Amino acid sequence: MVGLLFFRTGWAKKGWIIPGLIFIWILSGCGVKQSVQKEIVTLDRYTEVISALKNMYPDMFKARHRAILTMRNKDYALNGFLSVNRINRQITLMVQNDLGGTVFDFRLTDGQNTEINGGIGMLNPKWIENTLTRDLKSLYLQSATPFDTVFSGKDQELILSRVKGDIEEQLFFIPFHSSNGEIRLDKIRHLKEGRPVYGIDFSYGPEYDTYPEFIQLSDPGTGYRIKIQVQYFIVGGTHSLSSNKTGRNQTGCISKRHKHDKTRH
Amino acid sequence: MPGIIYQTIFFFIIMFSITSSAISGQPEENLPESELNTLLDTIENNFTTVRTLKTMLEQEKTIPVFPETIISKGFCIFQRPDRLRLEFVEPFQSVLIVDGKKMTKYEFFDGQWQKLTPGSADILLKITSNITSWLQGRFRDPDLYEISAVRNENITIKLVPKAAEFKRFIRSFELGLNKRLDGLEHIVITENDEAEAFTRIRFFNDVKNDDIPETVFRGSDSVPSKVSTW
Repeated sequence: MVGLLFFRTGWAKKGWIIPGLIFIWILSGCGVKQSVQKEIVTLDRYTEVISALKNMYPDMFKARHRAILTMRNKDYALNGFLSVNRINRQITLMVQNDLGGTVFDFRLTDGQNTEINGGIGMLNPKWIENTLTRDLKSLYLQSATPFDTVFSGKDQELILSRVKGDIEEQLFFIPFHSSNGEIRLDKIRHLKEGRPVYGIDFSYGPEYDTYPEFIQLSDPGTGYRIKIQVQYFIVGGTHSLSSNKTGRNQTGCISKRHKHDKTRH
Repeated sequence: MPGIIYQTIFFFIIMFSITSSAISGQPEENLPESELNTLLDTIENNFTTVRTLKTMLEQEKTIPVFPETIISKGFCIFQRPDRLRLEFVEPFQSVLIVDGKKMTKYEFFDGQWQKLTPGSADILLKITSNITSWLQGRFRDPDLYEISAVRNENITIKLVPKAAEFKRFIRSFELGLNKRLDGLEHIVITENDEAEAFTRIRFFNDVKNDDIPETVFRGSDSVPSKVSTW
């Protein structure tokens, strides 16, 4: 808009091109500066974010995923069976196709090794290993580091920011309605040179307050997207979900209550 | 020391009694080849009376990662010769509709139905065509499977994949028939891994030869049509 004004007023013809461009650049720069302006929060708020990060999940749990993986404009419905030990920083994932056949098993011990077994067909095993490691660590093995800074964002957002190599990871926390000001993770963004290169969005269903029931991951660079619906299983029972919203079945699974209608859906 | 010996003996007695009772409770008899063909003809003939089928299903999975049995619930609607709707309602909702060579998939995510553009659709169609064959009592596919049958309480047909690539994933399919030999009671799919993970699908509350509305198999809409309970 400013550029259009610049050319229409005939400044370009009068040797004002370079000063004019500098003027536009300054205007644009000011705009960006305003949108990323951040304020470091107090120690209390910092502690609140670190605590929310720590309590995102139980130390040990299992979960069942129903995932829709979108790659090359095709959708693949997959079932994931996940075992997480956050203390030992270990994750095991078994992925099955829609009709029950095992696609692959994946084991991750953070900082040590990863292992993938199975027929993954046309996909490059190294790519799967790297992608899964990043996704699973981002989802389930988040922990505080000495390099974390916390900023306040728009509305009541609190943003935990950390830099890993050339990537800035930002975790956005927001208060949730049913809490007394408690916060929970809303989204994760990875930025490279200020541009988003990877994102995770969390959505909390009516059944679970603090554990995300729906997760959407997207990686615009490689063009893949995953939507995941989660059913949680709690190991040892040290962490439980609010009892008025969930029912425990015979297998110890924390399951959703289902409404029974005359018609399905 | 004698305590340990007694405990060991006691352990073996318990183990033996459990094993023998399990065996004696369900004596199994492999059917000879000559009987097998006659039986398969009878089954195919019995199944021809099934024009449509609506059945509830419960899928149990045992996998190495989970000590718990993983349960999914849903239903299956079949119309001869090649229409199938396989729908799961718990814990996640999904619908697979096959109408001849056309396949449609829907997934319910975060409060909304999403129509998928399925990848590997040809493989899914091949598998669903197997299922529609089984629902018509046609279990013989000599190119794909070795077939055998076991007589226990009822009759169980066992299919073992022949192709090495298929065998890498699936050890066998077991198809349990009802007493009248005109319907399936369960399917057990055993995987070919060390832990022998398996999936058992139990069918119940069958309704045969009801008229099925056309909309049930319609895959052209953005959301799947609703199905009335039975």
